Amino acid sequence: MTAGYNEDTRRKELFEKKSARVAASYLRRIKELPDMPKEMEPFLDVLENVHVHFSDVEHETQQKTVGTFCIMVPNELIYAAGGVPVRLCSGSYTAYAVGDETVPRDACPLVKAVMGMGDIRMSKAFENCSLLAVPITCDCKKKIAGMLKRVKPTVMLHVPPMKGTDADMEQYLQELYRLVSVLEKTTGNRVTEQTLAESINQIGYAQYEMSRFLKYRRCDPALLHGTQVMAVMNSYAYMPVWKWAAQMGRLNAEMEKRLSERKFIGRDNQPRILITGSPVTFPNIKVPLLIEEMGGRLVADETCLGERALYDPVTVVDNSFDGMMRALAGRYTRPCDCPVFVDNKQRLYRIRQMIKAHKVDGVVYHVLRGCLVYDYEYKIMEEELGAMDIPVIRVESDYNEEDVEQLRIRIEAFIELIKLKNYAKQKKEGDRHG
Amino acid sequence: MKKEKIWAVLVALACILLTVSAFFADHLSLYDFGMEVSDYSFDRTDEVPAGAAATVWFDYGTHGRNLFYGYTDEDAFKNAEFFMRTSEGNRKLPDGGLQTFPADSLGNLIVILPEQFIDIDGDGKEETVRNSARADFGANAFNPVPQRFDMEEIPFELVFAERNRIEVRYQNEQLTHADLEILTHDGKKMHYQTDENGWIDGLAQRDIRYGFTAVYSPDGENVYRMYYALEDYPFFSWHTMEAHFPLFVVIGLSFLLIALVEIVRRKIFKNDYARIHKDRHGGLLSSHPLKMKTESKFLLIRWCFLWFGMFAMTYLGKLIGQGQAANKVAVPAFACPFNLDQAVEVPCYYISHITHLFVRFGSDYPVHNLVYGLIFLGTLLLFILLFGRILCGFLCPMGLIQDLMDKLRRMLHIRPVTVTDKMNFSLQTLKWLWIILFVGFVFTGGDFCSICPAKVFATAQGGFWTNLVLNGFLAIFLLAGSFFIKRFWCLMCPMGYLMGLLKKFNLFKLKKDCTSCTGCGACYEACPMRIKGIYTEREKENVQTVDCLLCGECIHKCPEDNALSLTFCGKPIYKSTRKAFISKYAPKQEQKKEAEE
Repeated sequence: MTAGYNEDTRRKELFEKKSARVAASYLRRIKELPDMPKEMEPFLDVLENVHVHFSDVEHETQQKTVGTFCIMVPNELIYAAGGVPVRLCSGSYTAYAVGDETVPRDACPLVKAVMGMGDIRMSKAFENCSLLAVPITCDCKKKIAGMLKRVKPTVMLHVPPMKGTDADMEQYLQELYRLVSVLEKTTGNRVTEQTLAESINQIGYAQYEMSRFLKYRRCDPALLHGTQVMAVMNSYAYMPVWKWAAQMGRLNAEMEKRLSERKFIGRDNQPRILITGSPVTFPNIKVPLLIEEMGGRLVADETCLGERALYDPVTVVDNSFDGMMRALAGRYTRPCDCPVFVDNKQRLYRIRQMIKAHKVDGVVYHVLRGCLVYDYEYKIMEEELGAMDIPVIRVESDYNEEDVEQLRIRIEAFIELIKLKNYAKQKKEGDRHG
Repeated sequence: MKKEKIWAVLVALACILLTVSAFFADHLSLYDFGMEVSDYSFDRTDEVPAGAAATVWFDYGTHGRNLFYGYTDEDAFKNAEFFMRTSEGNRKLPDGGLQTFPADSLGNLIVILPEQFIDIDGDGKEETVRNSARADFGANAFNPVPQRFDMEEIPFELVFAERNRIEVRYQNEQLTHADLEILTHDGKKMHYQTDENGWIDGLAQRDIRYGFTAVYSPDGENVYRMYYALEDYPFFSWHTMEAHFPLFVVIGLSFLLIALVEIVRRKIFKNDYARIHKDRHGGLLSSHPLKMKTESKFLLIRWCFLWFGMFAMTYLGKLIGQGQAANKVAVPAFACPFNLDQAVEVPCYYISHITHLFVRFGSDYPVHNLVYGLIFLGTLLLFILLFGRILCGFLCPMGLIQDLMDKLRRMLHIRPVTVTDKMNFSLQTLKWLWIILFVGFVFTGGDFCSICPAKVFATAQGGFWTNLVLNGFLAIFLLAGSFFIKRFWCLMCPMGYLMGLLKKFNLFKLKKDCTSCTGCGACYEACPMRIKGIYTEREKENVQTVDCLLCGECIHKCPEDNALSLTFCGKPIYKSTRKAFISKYAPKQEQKKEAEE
């Protein structure tokens, strides 16, 4: 008994050490990217607390935390019920190694890492959750919803596979009403018109700051390192929204100053890259890091832990309780371009819009090994981007550091290719003018 | 699913009920003013109206259903002859006729005194004077079609028609190119010449409505005088107030219906998850913390326009005492032409009574009205071509009424009925039924005005007494419907549909930039007309459909830069921006400073 206990503890400590080391090293690399804004540090501190020190997310003691997955769980409802949402989609390499034992080989690493977290019980953010809210999105999420149910009270949300008819959204509305009653049971608080409206306001505030921030992110020449931005977006998962929004406000103020002083981070002819595809979850932030370390400018991301998580605002048309619930159901399904939806042409339009807005030169299509839904969409994306004369590279990776060198070579080559292309274009234009 | 089935059954029932009851519309009385001529009381008055020059006159007092008569010469009045238009022809009333009116009287009354010999022009020679007076009252007053007597006993006749003109008839023929002296209510004497069709054109509306005397002398020795009294009351009179009574009845009943519907709805959806919980909803009229307001000058302008439209199409004409200021100009909006005091003509009467429009071109209406008809059709077409349904969004008084009901519902924190695409599809049947009734009902011998809910509002506001029949019941449904569903009537308005048909040529257009759209569906949720194409469209720039009111709600709710815009002649005048959308969530200035420190 004692021996078993000791072994468990030892194993846990080992994993903790290993996990903390990986997270710390990525944090260091993020901070080492030059010209990091000072106001970005609190965000990285949050990541450090959660991933290096394994502390719980910040919340008041009487508040319950609710673990969420994917981006279809309305955080507004959790705040309205007096809870604090924690996004539990994991990027931990250590947890991935643990989860590998329980999850089939071909499942995606994110799911393995989530299951691993459930098994090794090292993350307080996960352990202290009173409820897990899992939307039934892709096959892997569907299965872990069932598996997590053994570990923790779990509520599953049926996300409609299509969104063509109004009945699909009505169905999700019913799911949200069910979520409300589960949340109320968990937290003991009522979700009322008042609390829901207030939480919509709060998240709206975060979205307001985020929309201001996008201006600096789109800046040409670049003002910011995209990897740092992605870390900031990741930190949203572990911070109370008002704190995040307030800190974002400070960051915006600093960026405004930088913009007025024209303190750009480097030469302006660097290739501007957009990353899209499978979620980039801290500490699995190697692909963005590689892009920037190889001289690319990561100016935009279309991933569900990045811009997509907060981009679309809730549009309340009618301010009754039902009206707000409808607005939530609409906001978390209709504009969502997650590839789990059957017809996801929307993602193409979104990418097209982002390429135009962020002046993107090339697209890195990130696919986690086993993430089929994103892989399905690569083909159509390639055709579309080919028609737009935007180079695209498919980058497949796993939750370990073994493929880093291979990725480095491919990304470097891709960036060089864009540089050459831009150079040829400039020369052509120069010839025409001269 | 359940909701949609209930809805489809309701719509089907409404279709059947409307079709059947439309044929009995006039028999389903909701409010009866008692406008029959036999309901009028007749009294003598000694007060001489300012415009009366003849020795006999009619007057109405301040309250409805009273006809006063007055005279200066009692002997002459005793021998006076009374003539009345009845549904069975025009006839002379027996002696003492004022006490015994035939039951089928139409409310056009002429009294003629026997010949009198008075020196009018003061040249020392007495002229032969025929004094007469005419009154148009009851339901038949203000009839746009000339109500002529054409009797041998009436040598000189004035006929009010076309809402602002007087036709002069002498010996039952149109009196052309003749000089007339008119004495108006303010004591002015004016000279007018009739045109080639015997019309006095240009006599101010106010002068006609307040009573005037026309004097005609064919040869200088015979003089004909007629005092004309239309039943008309000032704006601030009990009569005008009383005209609003049926409106209050309709509003009261519609609130009862709203309460009933809400109670039934709560019962039906009792088990529908956590939908209806009293403690979940804010109290009636309680404040709402949600930041809904974004500064939108555009929507403010729209509200101003709507109020102006309501005011102009109902009250304005009466208030300035001019009646229709521009009655040749036909502005398509769903006000009611039975309210004769609109600022402009509303063409729905002639579209729903096409046969009447053709009558205007017929022999009964000589050239003069051909011009009228052409101007009417021309302006109507021009408005539909150039403006189209933006008039629905910006000018229609019915639109304002519905928007106000929607505002009221928001204040009461009652949840709306959301029209899903399936519900909208079944509602289209009702719309087509309305269109068929609108254009074709007249051919089956029906009268669209008896089923038109707009008549309830506009005429009452204009101060015209209108009996409510089926249209009163429909108005109750309209009010209750627009309480739960924004712009409920617009979803099935036949007039609006016809106005939207020529949207291609409109100056104002709704454009979409498909690259900027994220497909969040906010526009669709905001659209009162439930146009789904605006959110699903991915190729075309033009997303304006025949249903689009151009109300700008979608642009107001759109969070993407330039995704939706309202254009005027191709130039955007109102665009969606993310900044305008999201800045409502920004903290107040003090909080912002705090955050920065």
